[in-house]
Amino acid sequence: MTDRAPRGYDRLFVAPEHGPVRRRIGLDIERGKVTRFLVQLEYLIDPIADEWATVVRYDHDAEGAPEASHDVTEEGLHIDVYREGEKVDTHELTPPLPANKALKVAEDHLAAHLEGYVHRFEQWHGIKRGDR
Amino acid sequence: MARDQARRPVTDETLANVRKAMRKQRKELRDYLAEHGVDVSAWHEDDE
Repeated sequence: MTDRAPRGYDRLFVAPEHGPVRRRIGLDIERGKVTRFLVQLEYLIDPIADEWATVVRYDHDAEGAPEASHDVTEEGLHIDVYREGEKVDTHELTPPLPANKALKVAEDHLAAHLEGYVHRFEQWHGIKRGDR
Repeated sequence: MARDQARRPVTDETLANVRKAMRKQRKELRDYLAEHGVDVSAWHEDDE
């Protein structure tokens, strides 16, 4: 159920570095422009095996194949929702916008919906909350 | 059974720590973008 790690980004940010939930950001920059990014919320579904699953993902790729990636400057920012290791839904969040702004929007959006996404993920995957 | 026992939901405290780490990382991210010539004027609207 582990999702593939971001492929070959120039720079990766992971926060927090330890704990059962983390946000991973991958980034490529060329000549002052963000050419590719990934903002991904991940959940540690098996601490013993150190197995992580994607909860939601926002991405941008100006150079990738259209069927495999989003170009936010043409399509706007999307969020992909994952369940049981598979993408089950995609929502449009914005109209077309510059990639550097889309990255900020993705960050803001994830911060605003963090709890909801985590709780829904736990529900979907049978990870029951302690009290009720 | 060990895997199921390990699958405990995250606590509110954990989520608060995640938020804190994300906020801190936001600054690092912004600085990194600026160092590489990306326009970060939109990133200074950082109020909560």
